[in-house]
Amino acid sequence: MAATALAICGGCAVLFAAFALFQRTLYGSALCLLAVLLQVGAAYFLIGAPLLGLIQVLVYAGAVMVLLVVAVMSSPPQLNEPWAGGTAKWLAWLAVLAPAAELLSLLRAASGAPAALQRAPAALERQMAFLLFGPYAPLTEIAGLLVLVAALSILRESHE
Amino acid sequence: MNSSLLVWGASGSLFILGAAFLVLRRQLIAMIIGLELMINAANLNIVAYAARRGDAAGLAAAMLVIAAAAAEAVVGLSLILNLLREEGAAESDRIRELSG
Repeated sequence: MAATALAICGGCAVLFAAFALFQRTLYGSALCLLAVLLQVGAAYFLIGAPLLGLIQVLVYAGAVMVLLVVAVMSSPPQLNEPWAGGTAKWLAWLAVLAPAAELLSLLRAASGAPAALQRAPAALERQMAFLLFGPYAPLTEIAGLLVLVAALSILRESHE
Repeated sequence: MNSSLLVWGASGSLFILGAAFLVLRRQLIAMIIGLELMINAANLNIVAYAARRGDAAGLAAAMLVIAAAAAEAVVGLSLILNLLREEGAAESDRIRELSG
């Protein structure tokens, strides 16, 4: 059952990513990206990492999407030709067809195999918190500093 | 149904589509969207394998990747906003020079 839900989440994420590629307006692409990010968050829940799923929804689908929408609002509404070159649109179709073929072949291969979905115990997330604030504390501090510097840069940008 | 193969397929497909976004679209914001897709694809794989093996270090790495990706998106969008103010457009083929 969980594997079926995971298949639906993955399929929807890939479908919306393909939709995003072919949107003419950046708003459309941003909304499709939001759908992809929510599907990936749901996949984290199903895989057995609910905390990461929550953080994915809060950070990506919340904060980053707001910034993206502000940037889209500041940009010109539409380009006459959004593609990089004359044949780019056909290459984009190829980029959609290749993952579709990959997904189909993997689904065929996966249907006969036994279910291997494992639920991570809550202890795993406690262990993760211990690692983040124990041995990996300098890395966590650096990541926090990075986010702070990024926030300061956008504050400076908006101040100007 | 084998969930590892499903995650593998979904993350590989997302990565390919993100790369296509990055290479084929002209707008810088669309390129950032492609970059986010690629980072999410990689993160999905990391989380799936970490949860499957019961490896907390993998989950911690995924958490740090999310933080770094958020910072990258903020800096990228801030640069794009700056470019929009100065050039009036944010297209990759209009950036011809960098000045300090």
